Amino acid sequence: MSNATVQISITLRDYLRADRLPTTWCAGCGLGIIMNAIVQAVAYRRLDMDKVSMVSGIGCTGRMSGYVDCNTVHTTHGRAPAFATGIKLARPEMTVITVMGDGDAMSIGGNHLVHAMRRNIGMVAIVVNNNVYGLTGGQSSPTTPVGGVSTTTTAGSFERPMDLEALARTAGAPFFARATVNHTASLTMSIEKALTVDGFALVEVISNCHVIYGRMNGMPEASDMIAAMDGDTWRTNPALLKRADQSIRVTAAGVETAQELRRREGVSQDERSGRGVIWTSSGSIDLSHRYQREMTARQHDEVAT
Amino acid sequence: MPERLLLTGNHAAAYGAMLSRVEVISAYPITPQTMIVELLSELTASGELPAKFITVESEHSAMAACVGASAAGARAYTATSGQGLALMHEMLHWAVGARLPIVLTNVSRAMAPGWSIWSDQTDILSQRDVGWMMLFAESVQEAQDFVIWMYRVAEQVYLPGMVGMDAFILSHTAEPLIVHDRDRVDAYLPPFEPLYDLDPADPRAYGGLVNRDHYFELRYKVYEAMERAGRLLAEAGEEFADALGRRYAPVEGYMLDDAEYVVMSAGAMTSNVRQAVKDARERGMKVGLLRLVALRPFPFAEVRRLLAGRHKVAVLDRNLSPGHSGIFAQEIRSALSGMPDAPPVYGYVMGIGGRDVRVETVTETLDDLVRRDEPDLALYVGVKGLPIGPVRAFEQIPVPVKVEVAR
Ligand SMILES: Cc1ncc(C[n+]2csc(CCOP(=O)(O)OP(=O)(O)O)c2C)c(N)n1
Ligand code: SF4
Ligand SMILES: [Mg+2]
Repeated sequence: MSNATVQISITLRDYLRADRLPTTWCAGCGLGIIMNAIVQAVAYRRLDMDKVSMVSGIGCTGRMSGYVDCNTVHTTHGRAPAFATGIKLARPEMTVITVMGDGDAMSIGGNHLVHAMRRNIGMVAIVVNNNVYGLTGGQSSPTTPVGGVSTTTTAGSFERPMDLEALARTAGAPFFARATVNHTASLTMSIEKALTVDGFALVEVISNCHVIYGRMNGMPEASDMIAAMDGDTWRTNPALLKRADQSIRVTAAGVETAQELRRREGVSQDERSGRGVIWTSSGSIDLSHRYQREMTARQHDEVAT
Repeated sequence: MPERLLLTGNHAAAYGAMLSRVEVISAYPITPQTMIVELLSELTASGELPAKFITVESEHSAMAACVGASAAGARAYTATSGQGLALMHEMLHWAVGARLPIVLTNVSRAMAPGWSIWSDQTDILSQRDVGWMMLFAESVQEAQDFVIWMYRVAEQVYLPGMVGMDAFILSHTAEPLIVHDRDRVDAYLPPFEPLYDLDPADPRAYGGLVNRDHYFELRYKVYEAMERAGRLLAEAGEEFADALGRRYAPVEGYMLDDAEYVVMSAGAMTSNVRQAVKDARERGMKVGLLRLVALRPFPFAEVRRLLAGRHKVAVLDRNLSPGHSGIFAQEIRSALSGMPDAPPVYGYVMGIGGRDVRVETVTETLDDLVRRDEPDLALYVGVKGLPIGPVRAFEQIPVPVKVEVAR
């Protein structure tokens, strides 16, 4: 493909249930950006919405299936991949997109996610990682960083956060992309790429829950959390890297190549590391003794190092 | 010294766990229970409650961790609601079979789908036959006290117990709460003495295979323990008065003396029922209230004694077993069965999925009870556009009955 690009205009109204809007999401929540990116990716792939099924779990993220105008199922907390497996078996021709929160996908539904990856069931699984259980009001999740304050880790979390990329690799998912709501073009492109995968494609989206997680951790504005994300995100985004020479579409600003985009965003091939890799450094530490009242800030530091 | 605080039902439950000096708390958040877990997290982090607290990856794991903790000799507590209790189901059975006196608070909410976080007792009543003791709190004070009362009995019979509390109406409503003096609670609730301990010096195996030659006997011991629990629950409720100044009983009566009509209710909506009964008395209706506090063990003798010879009984159910009737109504009917002077039982189903049960709702129901000639399994109150009545009043579908004739 050359650098020539076809510009498509889409009207969100054609893809969303206008009567369900506005969403229940807080102003500035990354979920709106993600929903937008999914819809754009579907539009770019020219998929017929009647042949797309969105399966969501429970959480702020889970609400998405209420707004997107395709075949939607709002399932139970954590079980979206299992429901989606059934849908894919019954209707293999359907494009199945599952949407889950970090709690949904990695705590209560971890098992289902692992086995959907292992079986390589054809679906695009989008995991919105906002470091917290958003809907229930801010309890620690499997991705809450060490030291992260939540309503159930008032003195800071001391558990090791989960690295979804490593999990995907181990469980055998053929495709993994990590994107952020701060890089919307590459986010859309990751999803678009995931939609071309014949098998299981996992897209982790680092998102902001400034209203709950941010407020408890000194990032009360959406922009604070997005900025923090930018410096702290380990992006292994094959979609972005492989399509270096191919053009991508950026709706408002015109056309930009991925290479240009990467240059502009200051992201190099050998990525900064950051969140999500803590556990690899120190092997296994038995943390059971840490669940105690004497927990202090100093102890968190010990675990973190 | 006891303290008087203004707290919600959820926070009271957390205080109940703290006063009971629980040692391990393992839970997963779910609306409307989350505040219990959050307060316990704070209390453990600040050191006020010297317990170990963990938020695990699901309710199934929460109960599994409680099972492990209790088997290792710790007093274990959790709290959940609706979907979470359903997910725990397998482990609830385990706690019974392993004879572990775990206590949990369930904030009753409607089951999905349609997703709803509002009040509905179908969640807890679906666990009726698992073998847990079950208490239904009506007030913030009881949300705290029943946890203590439950541990006291659970640890005597080595059976687990759950305290039911209604979503929002109780869980999120603030009322004055007397937080008991810790020493007095300690005197009432001695430290947990496990039946079997996971003790390295005396190794044992848990959860082995049991064949047909032993399983029945193991279960028989559970049945026997549950029967014993009936008496102990009543005794411990009395002793609660001596130790902590409040008397509790498996059944509570209100204005029952000369009542011709009795209305039965459980949980937080009972407060509105009590008001409606009082109002009806003022209008000259001879009506009283029977509040079921304990569903398991079921207080047969008390219920039979209090209902014998009444003109009509209305049972108010915020739940339903489809294909049958409200679950409390089933329980009351079965308790009265075979009693010569048993009153007819009118089952009323209301408040499903958090629809308001107001004082007026109960008043309308009482009027219907007086007017209605024939008792019915399930009469629906408050379905949009429908008057109080059974389903079949609106759909006259003849039910084919197949009769097997012995040859
Ligand atoms: C079995 C069960 N347990 C608990 C809950 C309560 N619950 C709803 S959403 C949620 C966590 C949501 O966190 P996450 O998956 O990260 O999604 P977010 O809201 O952050 O998008 C929990 C614990 C539930 N609905 N079902
Ligand atoms: S609570 Fe957090 S995740 Fe949920 S809508 Fe608000 S900002 Fe978004
Ligand atoms: Mg989340």
